Amino acid sequence: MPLPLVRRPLVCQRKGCEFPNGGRCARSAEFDDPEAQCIELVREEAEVPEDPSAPVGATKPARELGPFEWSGVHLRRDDARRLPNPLTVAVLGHRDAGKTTLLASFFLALAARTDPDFPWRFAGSRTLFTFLTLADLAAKWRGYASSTTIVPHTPKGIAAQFVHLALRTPRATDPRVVDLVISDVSGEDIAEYALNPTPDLEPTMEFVRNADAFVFLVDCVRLMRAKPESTEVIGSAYDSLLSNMLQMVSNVLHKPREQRAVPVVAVWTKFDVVAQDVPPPDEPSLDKTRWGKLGKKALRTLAGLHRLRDAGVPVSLFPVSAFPAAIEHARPFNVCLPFEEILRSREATVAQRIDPPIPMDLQHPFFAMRRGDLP
Amino acid sequence: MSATTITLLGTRSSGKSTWLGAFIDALDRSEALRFDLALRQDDDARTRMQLSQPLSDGRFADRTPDTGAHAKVRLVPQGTWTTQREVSLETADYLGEEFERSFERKDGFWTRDWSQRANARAFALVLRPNDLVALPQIPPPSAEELRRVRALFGEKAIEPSVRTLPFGPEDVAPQLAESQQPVELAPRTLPPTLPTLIEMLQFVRAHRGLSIGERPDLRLALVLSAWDAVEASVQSLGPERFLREKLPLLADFIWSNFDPAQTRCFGLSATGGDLRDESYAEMFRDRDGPLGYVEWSTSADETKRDSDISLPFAWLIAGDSALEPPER
Repeated sequence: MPLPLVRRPLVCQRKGCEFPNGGRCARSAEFDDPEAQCIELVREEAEVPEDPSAPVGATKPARELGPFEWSGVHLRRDDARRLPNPLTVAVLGHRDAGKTTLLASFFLALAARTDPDFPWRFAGSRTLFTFLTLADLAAKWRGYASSTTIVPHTPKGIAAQFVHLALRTPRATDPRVVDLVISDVSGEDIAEYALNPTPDLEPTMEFVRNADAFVFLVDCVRLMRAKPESTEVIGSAYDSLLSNMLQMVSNVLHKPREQRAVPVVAVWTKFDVVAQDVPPPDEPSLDKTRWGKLGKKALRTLAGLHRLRDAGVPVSLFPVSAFPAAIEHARPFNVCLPFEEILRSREATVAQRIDPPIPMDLQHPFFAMRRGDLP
Repeated sequence: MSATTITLLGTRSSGKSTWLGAFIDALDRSEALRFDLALRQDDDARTRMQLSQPLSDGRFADRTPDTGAHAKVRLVPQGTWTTQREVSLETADYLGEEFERSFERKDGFWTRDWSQRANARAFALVLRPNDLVALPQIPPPSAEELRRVRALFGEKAIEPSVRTLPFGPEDVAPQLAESQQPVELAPRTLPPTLPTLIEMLQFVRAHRGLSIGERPDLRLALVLSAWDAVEASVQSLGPERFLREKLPLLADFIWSNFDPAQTRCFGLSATGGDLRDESYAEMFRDRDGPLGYVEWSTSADETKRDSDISLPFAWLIAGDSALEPPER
């Protein structure tokens, strides 16, 4: 069997030719087989042409051909929008609830496939560098006795940022891929917006309005703590704050004409700390009596979740432990489950991808047209 | 006539040069190869000598200096086993550090050379299992921990037997064993190998206009070099299972983005042993026949072995027919 040919995007130099897009060749009257006969049609199988702008005699022309629209670090809102099949997951929680830690632990679980029940397969990421950085930092954490946080706080007051994971459906013949775009936004900003949605926070919090799913973090430690450390919000005040965040979600989901079946996956984070005192139910439950002491401390939060469910929002609640100990002893629990729940609920809507190719030459008018960059 | 290019990708010291050198040395010594591949004689012989001479002397080549030279070996397939008339094997060895740099300085990284390599008709991704720089790893739960977790979180939480995952074109299901342990890897001094390779493949794919998840019509060989040095219990898994069980992130990425029918994993021992061991080096110098070997897994998960270290090249050129037993 001969070696397969390289498949490259077709480009036609002739104005009005639609052949590269599967349409009609502008010179169809002349050619029976435009792809084979038309010299204006380029499928760049040959070597990349010399860069005419390179200085004569240059030993190593460092031409930046990069079609890479990602840098490996967090995506910004506009970057995320360029992904072909984004499923935006808004991760909501107060400061220190474990939002970024959950992302780091999820990536590590995916990388080592430590959760065999998670059926989706890693297909790529435009934020690998961020994941590596988070994983490195988490690996340096020495456990709860350590005074440092597992990963640094996401700074407040910056533009919304996202991590990206492309996941492929587990069936070999199923070509669908979903771009999970997961928010990594400061808990302070989220809390402030929930309490007082001022216009200056709108750009940062726009992702909440456009979310396809929510992961809602309830910090068990903060909820159960009797005495505050410094000025932190704990106990019933924390419960009230979470209730306000849920109201914010409810407001977003129940705007007139915007009713969407957006799942809300609520998780008790740092559950390992309270697990001995709170035997969890066998399955996701919103019943406060099933959550022992936690249920009593989270009355408003659970009520908010109930209200969402009563309004038709798919809601689930279960425990998560993203980094219960230093990495060599850590046995994260359920870190894939929030995303599995979301993907399960959204799987039917994950579109089969028929993507335009990513352009090689960003300056070419053809690609500019495809991007919609032409005036 | 332009040559069909096969690009060998890998991080530094992954074994690309040793493989090419051992292959050229085997050709020079007229060792029997299953497929007739001749070196193009009008090429500059210095590159070939640079690659093969250290091995002829019974030693590994020094690390390729960052000279900007391009290791390129052109082959002329003989006979009727392939319609390809000329194949160019090109390595990115001389700038192995580029992979690492790519994470730190993407601007200016993607040169014309890289574009040409990315346009190859087939790729061999070379990595050395014993030298992998690991991601921070969370060990999977042990049986005792599973019991503890079940006690805490309920029976439904984790299934100890671990369910199967679909894999490959026929959904051949690898068993992720309960005893699965993370592979022992070198201490971290560089960016982790697998994400670095994945990012490089993402660059190549983006350059070729491929979307995430789009499976192109091209062959990809994953070559696990210095396979002889891998611990016997791990080696016994065979290359495919090694990939699936020990390198799941890369396995998933490849499965998701390349046609499983056109990807294959090989275990390669270019020299058959460690040339830093003087007694082995002497044996290698004085050998009468090939000492290197290549292993691959069949669809029935059996491991096959052959002393022809050019088989991955032949597979990249001709596909699975290259791995069928030779006609008698």
